[in-house]
Amino acid sequence: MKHMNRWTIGATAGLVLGVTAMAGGPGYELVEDCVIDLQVLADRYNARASSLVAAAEAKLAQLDDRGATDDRLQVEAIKFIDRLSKLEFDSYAGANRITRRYFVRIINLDEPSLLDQLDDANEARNDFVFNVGFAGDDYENAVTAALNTEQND
Amino acid sequence: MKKNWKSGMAAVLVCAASVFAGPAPSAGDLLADDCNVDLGLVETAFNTRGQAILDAAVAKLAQLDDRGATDKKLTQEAEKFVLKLAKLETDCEKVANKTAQKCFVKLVNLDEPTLIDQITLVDTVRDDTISDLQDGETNFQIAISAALQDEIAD
Repeated sequence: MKHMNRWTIGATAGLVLGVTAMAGGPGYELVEDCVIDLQVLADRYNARASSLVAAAEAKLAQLDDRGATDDRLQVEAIKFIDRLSKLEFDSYAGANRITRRYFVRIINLDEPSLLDQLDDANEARNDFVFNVGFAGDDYENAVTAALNTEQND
Repeated sequence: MKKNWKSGMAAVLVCAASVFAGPAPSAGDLLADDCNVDLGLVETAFNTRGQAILDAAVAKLAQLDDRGATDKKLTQEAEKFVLKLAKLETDCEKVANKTAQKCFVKLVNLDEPTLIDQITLVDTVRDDTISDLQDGETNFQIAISAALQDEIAD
């Protein structure tokens, strides 16, 4: 599931990169850089979220081995889900910052295809938000699944 | 009691008016409107200055003609005014571009959901402004050429 999210985010970035690379020009190079930066941010998000899920699974298993109650397990799982939510929203904030910075740089170039360039960068941001949103749901579901497994043990 | 009835009616009217008026414009929409007004002012300034250059050209050519200037001298003088017009147009284009760029950055900082639409609107107005400036320059140049022909034909 994790790999699929990464693949989806990567494929979107690849598609935007392919389209922009064909267009050429310094403005489009900035769009490409923007897409790459968003890709790096998405990869970082995936890595951290995967670590959180792994940590949640390990912690829940450890607590269950020590005979923790279902309530205690649930409290712990909620903590990890909250952390995942925070990570997701921090990633959105990062993506907005990155995109706005590129918007300003693209505007300063003010090439004839300015609007297309802004639109492409904005689309890359929207894709990021869409894909990270879906990935976030998957990671939270993974923690919930781990909780259910331990509670049913 | 009567007063309450009146204020109640007033509130109903205000409510009805706001429903008909649609949703209030966002900060970005208002900013885009301001930019469009600023671009309009650039065009107005160009027209005012362009007209002043044209008036000066017409007066100068008439004066030179009265003093018995040659056709070549008249043509040279007319060309100077045409160059002034070209410089004015280039300067105004630069101002229009700067105005639009500043506006784009402000809109990006607001980063509302309709950001691209807002930027597109301002960009369209900028394109229209620049097109009008170029048309205006052409018209002023034609008027100077006509004034030159009048004086040469005199």
